[in-house]
Amino acid sequence: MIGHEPAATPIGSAETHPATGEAVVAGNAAALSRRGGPVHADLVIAGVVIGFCAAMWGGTATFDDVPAALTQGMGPAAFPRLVLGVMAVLALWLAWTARGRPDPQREPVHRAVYLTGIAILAFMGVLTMFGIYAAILFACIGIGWLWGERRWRLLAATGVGLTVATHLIFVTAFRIPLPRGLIGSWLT
Amino acid sequence: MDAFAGGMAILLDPYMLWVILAGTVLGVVVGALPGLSGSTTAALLLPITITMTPVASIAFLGAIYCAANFGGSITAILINTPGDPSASATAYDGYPMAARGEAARALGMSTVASAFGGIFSIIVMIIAAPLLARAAYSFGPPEYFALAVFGLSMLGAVGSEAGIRNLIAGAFGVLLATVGLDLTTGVERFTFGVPELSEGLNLVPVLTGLFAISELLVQAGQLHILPERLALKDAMALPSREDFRKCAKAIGLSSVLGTFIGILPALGATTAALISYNETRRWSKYKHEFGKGAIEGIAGPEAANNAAVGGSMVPTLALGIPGSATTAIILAGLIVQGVRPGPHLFNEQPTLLYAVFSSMLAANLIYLVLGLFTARVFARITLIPDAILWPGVLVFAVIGAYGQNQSMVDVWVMLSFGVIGFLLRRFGFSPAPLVMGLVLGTMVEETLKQSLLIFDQNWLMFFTRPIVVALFAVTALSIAAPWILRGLKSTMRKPASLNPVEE
Repeated sequence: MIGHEPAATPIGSAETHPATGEAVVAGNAAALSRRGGPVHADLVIAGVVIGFCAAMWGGTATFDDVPAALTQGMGPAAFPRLVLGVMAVLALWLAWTARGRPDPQREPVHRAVYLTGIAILAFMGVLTMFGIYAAILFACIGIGWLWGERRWRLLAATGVGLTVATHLIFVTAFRIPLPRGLIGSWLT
Repeated sequence: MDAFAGGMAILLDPYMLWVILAGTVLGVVVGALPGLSGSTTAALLLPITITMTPVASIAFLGAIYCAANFGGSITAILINTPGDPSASATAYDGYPMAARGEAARALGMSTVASAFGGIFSIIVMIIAAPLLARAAYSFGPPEYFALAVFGLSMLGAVGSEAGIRNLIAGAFGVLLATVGLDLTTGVERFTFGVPELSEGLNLVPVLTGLFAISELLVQAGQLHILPERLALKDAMALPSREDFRKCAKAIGLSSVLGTFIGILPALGATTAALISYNETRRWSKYKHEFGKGAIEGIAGPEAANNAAVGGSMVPTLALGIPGSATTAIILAGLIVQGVRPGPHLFNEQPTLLYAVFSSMLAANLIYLVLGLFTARVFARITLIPDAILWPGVLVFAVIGAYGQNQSMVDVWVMLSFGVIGFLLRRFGFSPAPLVMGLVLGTMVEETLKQSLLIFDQNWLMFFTRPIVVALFAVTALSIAAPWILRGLKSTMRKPASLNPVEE
């Protein structure tokens, strides 16, 4: 229930989080700083940025041609290319100065992030097919369960409450139309 | 004078008072919730504010901004996790104070210092914004171009690799602003055949994705971390005379510092709070207490972060250059409503501006009262489980993205930028500079093109304008300053020194 204070979890406890299966860590743990991989992360980032700039520069070559008489100075591709040039220079600067900086190893992306991403895609599927109200129930119950909440009544109450609140706030008060979904549109 | 009276008169309107109260309460609540900052909430609620009048919209968002900076101190003190990034420095001494049973004293000082800093900066805003707008009235496209570039260059002023990353993100934001039709030639740029992109990227889904959805993904990766919560057993304690005496200098100094830092584009409340913490410690007679529960360590940063709010509104309203990420969102909201802040606004709609001033002043007074009498209620907000809170955030984000144009393309744009924001944060980039670049990008391009037309395509003519030259010089200095300072420090440091360099 909201307001229910979870039991304190002592450091070193064997409790695991229901969603992630990991040991629950009391306190506010920060990612440890360890030595990074064989290539400095900033060099990789710089390479990606420069590659992106090259790709976008190629994209500017696909812009429609404009007669010189209508261009009045800078053509449509000029400013984007200027910005891409600045980005590339900044990326080179990042790479050049990388040597003097530590390269902390990043923790791998947690499994829960991928699962949440999949859940969001599923949410979009429900939204597209059945509309916003069904999607709200899916989000509150489905994603809430995924994130470790096992109090079903609380999840259901939150879903119903949020559905009602959404209708009252957005549809009734602010008159903002909400997605009805393919089935909702077909039925009406 | 009429405009001033007209602006103050909104406080007599029950609807406006309700809007300001709602914004203030919401601001304290979201500020207290780790992960949901003032900027994220402003982005989430932007679609709702579009249905309001410009005055109500900016009053609502301004109240959220003012109150969220204060609300972040609640969790900073009680669970050592700032609810808003601007409260990061408050945790250094706030949590140790709470750990030894002085949470009420810490929150009381936080409330009073926040309100003082906030009110001080609003008074400065009332005086400085019109003056700055008057000075900028004679600015032409070259001056605005130089000003926008200066604003973007401040992204790099934090120094080291964070500065370079901020500049790259800012440049990426400027590039995103070119998506859509080129206004001069009508050529489609970077639309990839998607018709909805021909009018450019819709700011609302981009902002919502970058702040709310990216944070949702970050929170998903932290589910296994449970913060240790300290209870707020006592009622809020007003600071004692002794505490006031001890903190008066810190509050005064930090209010001035925070206001000044807020006025500088792109820096914002978090930078103000961190710099203020260092300066408060430097000038304190009780340096040894810092980091172990020094009351000045709370007073200084809290005064500064709230002072930065009013300060950051000065360039936003007077010049149309955002002073921080949240004011960039507020600026985006005004642009969507067809109101472009700048010098002309002070002539054309002075009542709107004074209404903004009075609403922010009211918000500061409201959260002073709320903080002193209802902090225990707000403290319990932190007990809402993430599994209940964040699905709701997702729902509001989707509705907000969809609501403006009733387009699912906007929802997918939001989700895409949510992933982009998550990746940016993972690799050390901040979404805030990207937002700055996106909001300023159109201005940069338009003023550059107009300037080149005026100069007959001769770039060198920029250097015939004194204000432009001065702004370019400050721009170069702001980019180079962190490295120059580091070079000077290493030159002056004695070889046998064992003292660590203070950040």
